[in-house]
Amino acid sequence: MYRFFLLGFLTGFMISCDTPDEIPVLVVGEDFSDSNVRILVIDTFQVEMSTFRFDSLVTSGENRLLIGGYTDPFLGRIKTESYLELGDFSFDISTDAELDSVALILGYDTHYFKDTTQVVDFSVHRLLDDLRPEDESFYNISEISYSERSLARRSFIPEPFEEDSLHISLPKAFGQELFDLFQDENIQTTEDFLLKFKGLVLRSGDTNDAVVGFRSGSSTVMRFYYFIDGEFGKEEFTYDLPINPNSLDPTHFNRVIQDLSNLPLEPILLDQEVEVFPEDVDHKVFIQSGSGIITKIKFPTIKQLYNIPGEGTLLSAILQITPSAGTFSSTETLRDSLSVSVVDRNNRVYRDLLINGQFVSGALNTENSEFNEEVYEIPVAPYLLDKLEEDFEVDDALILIPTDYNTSLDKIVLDAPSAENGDTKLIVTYAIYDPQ
Amino acid sequence: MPFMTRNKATILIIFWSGIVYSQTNNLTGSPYSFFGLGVPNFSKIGNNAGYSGVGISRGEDTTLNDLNPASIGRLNTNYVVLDLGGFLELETLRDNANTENRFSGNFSSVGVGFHPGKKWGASIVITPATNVGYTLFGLTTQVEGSNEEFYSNIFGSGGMNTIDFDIAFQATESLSLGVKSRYLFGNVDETENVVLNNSFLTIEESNNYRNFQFGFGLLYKFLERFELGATLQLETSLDGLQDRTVIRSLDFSTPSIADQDTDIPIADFIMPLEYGIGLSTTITDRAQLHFDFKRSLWEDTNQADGFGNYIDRNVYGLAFEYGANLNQFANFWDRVSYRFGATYDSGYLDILGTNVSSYRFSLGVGIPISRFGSMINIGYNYTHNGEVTNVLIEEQIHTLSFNISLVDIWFRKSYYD
Repeated sequence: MYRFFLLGFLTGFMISCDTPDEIPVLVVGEDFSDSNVRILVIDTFQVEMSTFRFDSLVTSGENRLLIGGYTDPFLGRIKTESYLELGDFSFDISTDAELDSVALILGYDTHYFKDTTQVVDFSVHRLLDDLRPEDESFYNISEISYSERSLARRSFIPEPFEEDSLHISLPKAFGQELFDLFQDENIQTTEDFLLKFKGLVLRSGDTNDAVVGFRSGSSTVMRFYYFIDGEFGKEEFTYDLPINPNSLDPTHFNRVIQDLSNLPLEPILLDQEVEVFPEDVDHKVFIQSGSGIITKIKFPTIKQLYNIPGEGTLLSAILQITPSAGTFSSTETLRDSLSVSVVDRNNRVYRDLLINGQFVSGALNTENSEFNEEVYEIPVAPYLLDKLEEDFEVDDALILIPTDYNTSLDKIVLDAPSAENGDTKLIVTYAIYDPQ
Repeated sequence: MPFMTRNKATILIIFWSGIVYSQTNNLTGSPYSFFGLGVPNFSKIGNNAGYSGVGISRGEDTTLNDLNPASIGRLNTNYVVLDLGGFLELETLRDNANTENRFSGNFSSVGVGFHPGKKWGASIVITPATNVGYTLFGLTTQVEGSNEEFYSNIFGSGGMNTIDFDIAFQATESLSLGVKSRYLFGNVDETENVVLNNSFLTIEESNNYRNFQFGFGLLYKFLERFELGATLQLETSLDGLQDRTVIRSLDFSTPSIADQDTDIPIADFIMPLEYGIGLSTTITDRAQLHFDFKRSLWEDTNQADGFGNYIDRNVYGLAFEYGANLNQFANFWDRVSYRFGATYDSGYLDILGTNVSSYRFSLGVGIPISRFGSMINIGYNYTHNGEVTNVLIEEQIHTLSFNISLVDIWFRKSYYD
């Protein structure tokens, strides 16, 4: 009897108990001790920047036709030629139809760059060769021969938001030729059509100062206006011929033509491996979509982090880059974000940078834009950690790629660290937890 | 042969599982446990809880007393004692602005002792010796090379344990000499969480300390009514090894392990030289008075921790016992022992110039449960620690302790087959 009572008694207080995990609110902190950790911010690591140009960029497979161009003191003159192939599934036109007129309709896609209050001009030419790529894609340097005589010329003030589309009248004789072939049923399939009509190119003029984008989808068509005599008089109809929907190959692309003659950046046109350094270009580096011009960044002295005594770890590393003053404005806007990739020593992209499974990208911090203190902040710690841990020296570098790099003509001019009025630098935050 | 043999196995199983389970939670919330190896527990084995830890000159004949290794030499011949104890504690912490309560419980000690023959006795006692449980909140530190500050919180948990092996020889009728071999072991774990803007850093350190510590004690009866006790604990250096894990978030990513290391050598922790002297006097047949003085030479260890310095510590104690009526025919309440104790501890910590001292009162009863001296001891202790100043906090701790001391007779030569 006694025994059981004792057993129960003992078991009772053998088990330790405690109030469930609460942190006592009694704040004793600084009076008892300092932190065991030191955190340092270092902004004196070297940032080596340069500019190079990709040999080519794929410009088919996107959804935009670019028209226009501009001139820049460092980037020279740039303009586009937009190539497209038309087609359809069927070409039924009633035998009673009578052609009234033909036009090319281009649907705005709201993209623009630079001053759209200025006139943009371009000409429309017929292609002499098939729109067939050598491999699977077309590039910004691809070309297809076209007829020197233009079908039409158009100058316009772009209205990418106010208007749906741009209307370019085409010669009636040209339209009649195709219209008759449809009516006579000499053209019944896409193959028939492409034999007769290989496509169009929209060639931007040489004096433009704006770039406009048009959709390559169903809002861009060659439109035949015709009428048929009906009971109540002539009824108007339209027949739309879109960009060929019936093909596995690409059916449109943008060519980018750039002239850098006698400018400091000219050498980059020679080869992808050629770089121009900021001291030759007013302490600047460049990124230009469409042409393939891109900024390259290295951190040659980052391993000096090991010289700091004690055991520590990298907490963050932000590459801060200021866009050059006077190179951007409300019409020449800066991109909000730049994604980061890694190139090898031949300037070829060989890996992406991921953080949490997502691509690393830097954002434009516009908190202080009233004071003209916009700055790009690019988190590069995962890249630096790889560099700090590499077993042997790898000669790689980072490049910054804006969105729509293959399908726009935007430019971003950045200050190199040596620029006097710039504030480009690498800001490293390093924590030492075992000061020794 | 009552309890012991039949229930030994069951009891042993229970207390082993108790030891394993009981060390999982923070048993204190005292910020003072930040310093050194935590806040020390006072001895609760045998009758000790009721005496407020006074016991250098107490040679116990029917129970264990780990305060003086010579005490086991006074255990009655052929006696075997098994002692198990636990306690419940209510802690109230107070500073300038807030009051916090914390309730906890644990086992306090387990011990076995015996005195075969006339000449010598030995005991083994296992005790959780210190407890660590603190939170240092909201430390701000300047980031070097910037105007920013980073914030940290530091959490501590763990504690040290001791296994004491005491052996004592009855040199003469009045003199008992003892040697204590103590093994100290345990972990003090500390985690610091750092936040700076969007970056996080966590450093988890588990510091393991262990080593032996040796001590001596003597008990000397004189003039029939007096007993003098003396103890000496030698200084020892506890070897420290650390396991460390560093976790951080890189830029804005999810946290990952930056570094992981085991068995990193860290600075040893030095337990100081300690000596004590005590005097007991028998006033009447049943009433006894005890005085204790103990001094720990912390300053000689040249240690500091955070903003605390270690200073020499003096403990003064006084205890009184009104013992059991040993007459077989006495009624139950007459066979209960009553105890009272009071101690003043000048403290071993000096934090930013202010001394952390404490005092304690205790009351206890011992309820006999067998002829041989098996007893259930219940003690109540009130401890007051520190004071509310700009820097310090005040702690009031109420401890209710229970222990059972089971006595059996072994080693008797049997007179019959």
